Amino acid sequence: MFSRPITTHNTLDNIVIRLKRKWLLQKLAYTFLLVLCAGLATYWITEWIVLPVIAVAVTTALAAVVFSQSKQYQNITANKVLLHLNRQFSECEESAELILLPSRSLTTLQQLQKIRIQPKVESLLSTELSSRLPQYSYQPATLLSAAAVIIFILIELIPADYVSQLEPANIQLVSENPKPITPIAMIAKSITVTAPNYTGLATKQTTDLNLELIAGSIVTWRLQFSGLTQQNDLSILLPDKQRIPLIKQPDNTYLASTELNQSGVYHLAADEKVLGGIHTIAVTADTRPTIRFVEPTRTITELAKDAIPRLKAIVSIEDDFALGRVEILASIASGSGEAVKFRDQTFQFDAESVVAGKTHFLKYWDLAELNMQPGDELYFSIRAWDNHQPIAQKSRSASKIIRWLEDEQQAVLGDGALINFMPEYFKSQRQIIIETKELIADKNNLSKDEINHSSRELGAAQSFLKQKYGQFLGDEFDSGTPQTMEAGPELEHDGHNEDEDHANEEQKASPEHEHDNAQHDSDDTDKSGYSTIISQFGHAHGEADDGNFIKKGTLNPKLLMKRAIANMWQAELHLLLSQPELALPFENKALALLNRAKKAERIYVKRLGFEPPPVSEKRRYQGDLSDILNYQRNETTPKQNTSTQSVLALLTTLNQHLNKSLNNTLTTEQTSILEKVKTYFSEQLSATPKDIAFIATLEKIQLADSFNLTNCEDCISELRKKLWQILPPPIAAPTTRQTSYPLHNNMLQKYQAFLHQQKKAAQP
Amino acid sequence: MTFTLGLFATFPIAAAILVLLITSGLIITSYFASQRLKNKKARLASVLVVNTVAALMVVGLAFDLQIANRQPSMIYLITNGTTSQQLEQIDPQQAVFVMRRAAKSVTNSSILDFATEIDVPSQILSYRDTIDNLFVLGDGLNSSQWQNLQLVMGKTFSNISVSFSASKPRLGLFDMSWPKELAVGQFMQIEGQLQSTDDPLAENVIYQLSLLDPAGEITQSIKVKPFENFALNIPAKSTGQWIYRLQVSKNSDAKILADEPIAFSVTAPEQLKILIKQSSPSFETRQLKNWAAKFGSKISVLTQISQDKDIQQNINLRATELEQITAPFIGRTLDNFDWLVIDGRALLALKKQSINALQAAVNRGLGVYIIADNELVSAWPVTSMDWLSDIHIQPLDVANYASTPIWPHSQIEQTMPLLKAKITAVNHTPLVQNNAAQILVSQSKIGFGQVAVSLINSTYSWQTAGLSEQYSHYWQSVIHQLARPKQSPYWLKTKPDSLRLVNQRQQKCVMGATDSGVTIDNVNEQPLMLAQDLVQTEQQCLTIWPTKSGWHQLTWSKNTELADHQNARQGALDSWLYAYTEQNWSVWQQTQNHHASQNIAQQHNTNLLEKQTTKSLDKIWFWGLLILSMSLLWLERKLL
Repeated sequence: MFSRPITTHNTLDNIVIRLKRKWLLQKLAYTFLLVLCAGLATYWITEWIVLPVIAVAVTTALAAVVFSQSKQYQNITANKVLLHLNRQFSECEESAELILLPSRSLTTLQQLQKIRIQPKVESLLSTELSSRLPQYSYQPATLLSAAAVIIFILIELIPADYVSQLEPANIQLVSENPKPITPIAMIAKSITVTAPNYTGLATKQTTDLNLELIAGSIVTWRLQFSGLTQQNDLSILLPDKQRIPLIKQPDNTYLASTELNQSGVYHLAADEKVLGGIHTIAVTADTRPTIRFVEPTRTITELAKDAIPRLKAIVSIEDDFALGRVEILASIASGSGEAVKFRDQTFQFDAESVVAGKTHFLKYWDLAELNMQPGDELYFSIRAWDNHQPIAQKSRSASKIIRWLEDEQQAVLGDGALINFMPEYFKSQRQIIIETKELIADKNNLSKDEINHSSRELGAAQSFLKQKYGQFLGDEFDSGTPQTMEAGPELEHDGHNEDEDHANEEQKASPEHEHDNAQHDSDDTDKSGYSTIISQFGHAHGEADDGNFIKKGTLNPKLLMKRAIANMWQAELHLLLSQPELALPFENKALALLNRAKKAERIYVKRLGFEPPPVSEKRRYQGDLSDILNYQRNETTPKQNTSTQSVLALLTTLNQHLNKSLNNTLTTEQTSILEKVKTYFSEQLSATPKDIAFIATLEKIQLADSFNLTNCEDCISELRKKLWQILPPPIAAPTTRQTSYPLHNNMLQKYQAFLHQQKKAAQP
Repeated sequence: MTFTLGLFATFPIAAAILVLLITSGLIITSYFASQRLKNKKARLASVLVVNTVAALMVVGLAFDLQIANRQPSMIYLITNGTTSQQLEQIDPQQAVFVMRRAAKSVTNSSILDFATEIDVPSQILSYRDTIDNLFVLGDGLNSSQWQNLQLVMGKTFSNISVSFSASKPRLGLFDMSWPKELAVGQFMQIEGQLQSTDDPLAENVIYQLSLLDPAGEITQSIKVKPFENFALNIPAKSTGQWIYRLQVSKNSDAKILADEPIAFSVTAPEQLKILIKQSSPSFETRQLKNWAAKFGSKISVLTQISQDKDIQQNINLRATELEQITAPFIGRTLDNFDWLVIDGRALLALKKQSINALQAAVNRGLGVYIIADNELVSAWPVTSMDWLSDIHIQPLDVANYASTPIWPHSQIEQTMPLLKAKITAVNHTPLVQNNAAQILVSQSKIGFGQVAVSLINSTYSWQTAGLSEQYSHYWQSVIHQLARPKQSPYWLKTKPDSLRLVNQRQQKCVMGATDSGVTIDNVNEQPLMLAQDLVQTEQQCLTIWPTKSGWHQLTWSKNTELADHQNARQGALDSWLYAYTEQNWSVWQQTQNHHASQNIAQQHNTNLLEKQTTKSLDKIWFWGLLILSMSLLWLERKLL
């Protein structure tokens, strides 16, 4: 690198070499220092070691090459040194460089000068010139580099506790605090939910700690944690306060397993402290089988005596998983009176089929095979068990009755079942009209007996319907004859008679019945017969406005009903006399009146509502109250503390929290509110199992002792939404208006008085 | 724009000498340079140019050069909503100010590089001695900002010329109105209009307006056309502070085009003092009593049981209060009640002295609800009650009288039996009507009080039929109209059409406070003193500048001993105020600002004031060029 100068003067050459070396060393020392600082900084920032070391070495080497090729370096020559000596020493007479030039190339004067100056220059060169030569110092840079390296080594190699020992006492106190413990964190989780075998459901693997499962499922948690120590006691705290330990496995995972039957919230615990968040368990219970009769649908099925005693029963039975056993429990009743005998027997279904995805079970009953006689009855119900284990769940259907009739009075249709068996009095007026019309139309095709039979049947139906409506209007049928219609008008109503009798028994002591008597008194004076009609047709207790139907042609619905019944009575009469043509107009009239009465709305309200009797002013306030002293009662409305109020209080708190983003811990009052709302949700859990998530949120708030939940971003907003939704519809509260003036304002009062006087003055 | 020599124009000899010296210097240095660089023509030319530039810069720096401007001195104020087209109108030579909020939104214009950011318009006067012509761009300033500017400028404000270049209308809601404070069950009527853009096609677009409850569920949805009035009604569900949201979307599109908050506070029920006087027990009064008592109302029920005896049932009344109401219809005892419910028969049975006491109490503000009955109808008009002569009641000759009562926001659909009578009240709008606009409950203002006569006597049937909401709403509506107004002191309600924004002045007043008291804001707990209003002396007011958006609870307390929190809390009055962010209700703000700014621009539409202004030339470039040229000359000598 240091190429020897090509001169004949060794001393001069040495000087040049030395200068060149010093220059280069100086540059390299400073370069090294800079690169070293950069390297150390890189190490502290990135903790890289190799790269900075390589970078320092390469950069320094590169710098050596670059500097050695530089113009400045090349310019350090013997000639330049001699020129420098010219500046420094006057004895050189600005001609020192001549010594390097060959004498041949010099002019005569230059040769003379060279001869004169050469000894002087050589003597100068032989002396110590270093102080007069340019100074290229590399020591500062080298020392600084060394210092940087030493400091680095000291920082890196001296143990930290040795440094801490050297710290002042007050810092030592700080360092005595326990080293921050790495928090326990779950790094892997796998939950296996094994539904009970009987369900046929596959085992489910999940990583979600919020579980949804069938009752009786076995849940296995396989969890892996970081930051655990040997002393940590890990467990899972289930909704029923049951604690199951998490047992360490050889592969460093923790395992716990249990059977779950109850919805609720659970959490993991490490040394009795909650680990992670609160999680939910939503358990869906296995339901019992459901049994539905497809056939027969009626409770009682009756067979005529001479009918083929066979019928079938079809039942649809379903279960959420699978059915276990199905059987028919039957009882056969035979005989009558005291000789009745019961025989219990269990049957199996004859066939099974799937219709529209539902399992239908068929049973063909042959009553003769069951040794039944006409007059006997078969009661049967279905029992079904599901495949629930260990104890199957049982459902039992309602009982059905098959009655093999002894008499032949019923018309039998179809395959023996009494399809048309239905009391005629259930026929509506419209149905009676339709059948009457049919009868009239078929009259030519039917025998006289058939016509008579059908007509009488219709008459009976009309009679029953008439009785039905009559009952609503207060008619009595105990004697089998509608009193008001057939016995003709009576002056005294049955009810009133009873009242009077009762009043006589009570020796008229009770003032409640006074109104009846008073009313009767007034009835006695009724010359027009108006009240008589009312008392005959109505049950009005003398209420004044009930008689208003006469006014302005507005018909009272009660009167409409009475008229309808009167028409029914006429229709019944003609039907029983086998005169359907004559009965039809009355039937139609009755239907029209019934329809008008229906539109009047108040027909039954009047009858059922409380009808306080009017009290005349003469008789009011005549009670003797002289012995009664205390006329005042003071009460205080108790403060209601309903769950709604707790919900509202929590919602208000959450809204405030939203507004302020408080980090405060919960107050006692807030904790109490949380408990109440939690209770509310727990009570609703059976109806809305998904609300378990809100209970979990409330638990999390309680655990965190704050409304700031770090690991559950949407929980609070979801809870807020839910709370708002469960607030009941508003019951308006009393409130007063605001005025922009106070009522005690003197000026306003005077103005008001002035207005009042003006008004008085204006009045005649 | 012309240049003047400024100071040197008055000293021409000095200027001439200076120019001469500099010229001489330039010639001499150029000569030496030409000698030195004889063989390097290009370099010589460069040196000469740079040397001349340096000399000129010295001249420029030495002279006090000024720019005289004869154009009108315009001050541009950029407000929120300014479009880039509007920014192009700005003359960059003029002073440009930008409201800080607008500066955030307008980022793509070079105007903002030389504009001065301000927070309030009056800050312009910190940078300018006076304002002659003000050109406002964008949404404009609101009335409060104009008022502020006017206050700061004083009389000179009337001399300025104001021009306003309005921003384009944006899609959104404006002219909104809804009650900010109400009681549980009261209906909140939200009214307003939808503004569309100035695109002609946009006017025919039908938009969907949805009201969302605090849970984010849509409670009501209507279709609106731009610039049509709309109204939405919802009952206040529960006490507390609630924020509903109004969302606008295109009818066929799920995209939300506007989303604005509707904040309101639902206050706790008031403790009303009710007197029920009846001739006999009735379901009507019993249900009414039960309902009112549930909310803590103080009730006294007087039921006649004999000719001269009543049984008295008192609910929620303290012993001291009971002492004051032993004989309610004597003297000023009725002043202890806010509302009287009386049936017709009981009213007719009142003695002359009692009727006088009742009349006086009504004049002083008592509300009376008379449940009419046949006796009252037959006896009307009653000579001893000539003060009720405005109300006319006549018997109705019909078999049955039933109809559906209608009152504001009523939801009853069933008919109900009514007393067979007809009411005609002279002066006042009825409280309750039926479908045929017949009066079912009249309302007459007598003195400070209100008297109503009702043909409805079986509202209890709603309660027993499970229509508790409708039942309670009926009685709330009746009581609100009739009962004695609130007893002072109380916070005055915020106007329904007001918009309270953060960082804007808000005024709240307490009515009827005898002393100023002290108010604490829950956000900024510095106690605030109220001051008596100059016009309405019964009001004590305070002004706050909410710096944070959201709910602010103002608690007024008579007790000024702040240290004694316990005492201060007793008798304290709370009021809630919601400060919207500046981003909320931007279209409403735009219309308000447009309106205010256009008004001011019309009032100050004087011709632009022209005035010669002189401005010293900014010499930073002279300094820069001088240093640069000198540096180049030095480098040329030393390095090359």
